[in-house]
Amino acid sequence: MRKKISSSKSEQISSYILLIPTLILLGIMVLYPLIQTAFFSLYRIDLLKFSERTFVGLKNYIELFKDSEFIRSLTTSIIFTIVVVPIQCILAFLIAILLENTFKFRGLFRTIFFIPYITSTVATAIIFMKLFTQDGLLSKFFSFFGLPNTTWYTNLDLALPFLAFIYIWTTLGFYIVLFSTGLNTIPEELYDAAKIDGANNVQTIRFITIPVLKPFIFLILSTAIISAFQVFDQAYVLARGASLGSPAGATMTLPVFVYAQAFRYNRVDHGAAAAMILLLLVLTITMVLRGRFSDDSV
Amino acid sequence: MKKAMSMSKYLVLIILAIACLFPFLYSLYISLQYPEDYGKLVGFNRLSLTNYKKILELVPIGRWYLNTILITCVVTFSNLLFSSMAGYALAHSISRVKNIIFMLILGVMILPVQAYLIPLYFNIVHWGLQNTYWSLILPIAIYPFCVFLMRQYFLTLPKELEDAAKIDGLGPLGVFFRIALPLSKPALSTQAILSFTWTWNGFVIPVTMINNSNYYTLTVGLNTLKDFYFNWPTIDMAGVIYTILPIIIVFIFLQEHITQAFATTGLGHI
Repeated sequence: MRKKISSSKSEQISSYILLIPTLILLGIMVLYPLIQTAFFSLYRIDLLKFSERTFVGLKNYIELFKDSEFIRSLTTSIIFTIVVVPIQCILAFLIAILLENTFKFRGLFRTIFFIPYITSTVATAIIFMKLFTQDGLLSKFFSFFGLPNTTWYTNLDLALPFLAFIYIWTTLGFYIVLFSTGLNTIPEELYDAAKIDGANNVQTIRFITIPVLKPFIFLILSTAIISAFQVFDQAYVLARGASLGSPAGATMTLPVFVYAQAFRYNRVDHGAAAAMILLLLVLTITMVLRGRFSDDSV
Repeated sequence: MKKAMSMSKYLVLIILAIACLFPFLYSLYISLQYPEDYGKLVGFNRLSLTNYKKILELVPIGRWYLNTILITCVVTFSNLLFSSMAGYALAHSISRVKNIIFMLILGVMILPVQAYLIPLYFNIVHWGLQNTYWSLILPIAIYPFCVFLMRQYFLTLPKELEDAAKIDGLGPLGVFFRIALPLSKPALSTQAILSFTWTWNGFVIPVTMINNSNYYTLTVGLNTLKDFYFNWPTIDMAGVIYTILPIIIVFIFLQEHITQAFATTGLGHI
């Protein structure tokens, strides 16, 4: 006979004890400042007279949308994401398929591809800054393809492509591993059946791999979009302590704009409003894509 | 034909592998050069550890190392303990309050750091914690993903095990510390790997909270090193190698574990 154990009052209490440290830390370090951000975004704040803030309603938001620098940072983030995510995902997907069909050294290759992802973003950004200075190895290399031999991250046209390049280089291995994990869930029999039916490689990918992988693809896509939208470290580093977003705002993504407003231009109120917009965008993207994802997986 | 296909496949993979490794080998090579040799291809007899010694005179990199090791250890430990505790509580005796807390954790997981960074900075200053280890540790003492990870893991543990322990007279805390925690080694190691890497490489929090070079972490120190000595690439590259070497060494030993650990962050399950 099995003794039934009901969750008694003391059990309830002790399980809340287990939650206390997490609730306190996240509450003070994340949730409270999050609410403050929403609050700040509705006030005019002068840092010198912090206590004398005045409520201005949505004025900060209205000012932001009239601020060409903000609009530009929003556009920069969107363009960055639209360019980076497809390259990232398609490359990672193809490489994952290539690895799946490779038997020798598969683990070794996957390990090597992953190294850029686990090393410091600051360190790798600095290495690439050396490689992409005028007469640097990669600047020279790309000049054979018609690009100017110049310092990429100080060039108005090349700074954002430079950021995209190092961002993709850093994160590609991560997405390869995600796609590989997805591919591993596809049963061998499906491929065998396709082979018997005489499907070629492209047909197999089109009619077997992609449909089976669909829930994974949405999940990976949403991760990729949200991460690309939040690119910060590399943009901060390549500005070289000068004004953030340099040269002349070319690498000013939305997260960098938030940071610059608050910590460089002392516009805490505008920074907070921009942070709320960033938050709203990230939440919307997540809801839309994860929503699709859960519909598909049911 | 088939052979040619397989050859070209390996060719592509090898080119990609070179693209991944080349920047690291390049920085290693430059870091070993004499400053006057920069930009030239020199033989092994012209390589030395000069820059690695020189950097110790220029900046307190030893101190940065200790800072980074200290906060990485504390944050990893605090996650192993607190995130596991929370994950366990959330996996058991589901109540409505706990569901709300769990939704909250899921929400915090996808929060961009900029959404709370500005007030967090002012609070840290206000509490007198700027330029202290606390300002580096407390904001990341709980990685919400670790709580999520532990909850998912504890859900897979058979309930009978705990029931048996309870019959033996263990209270809920006893069950957690004596039964559940020892059984969750795979999830704990995943968590340790993630907290270690995230904290070691972390940049936004330390660069915001610290302006006293005695409290820099390696990444922040490296960034200022680059700003001060940008025209001295051999020194920069030595700083880069100092920063990434520990992670690379850990990675070589735990490669499979590490790739799997990060796969969970993208796919949300173990």
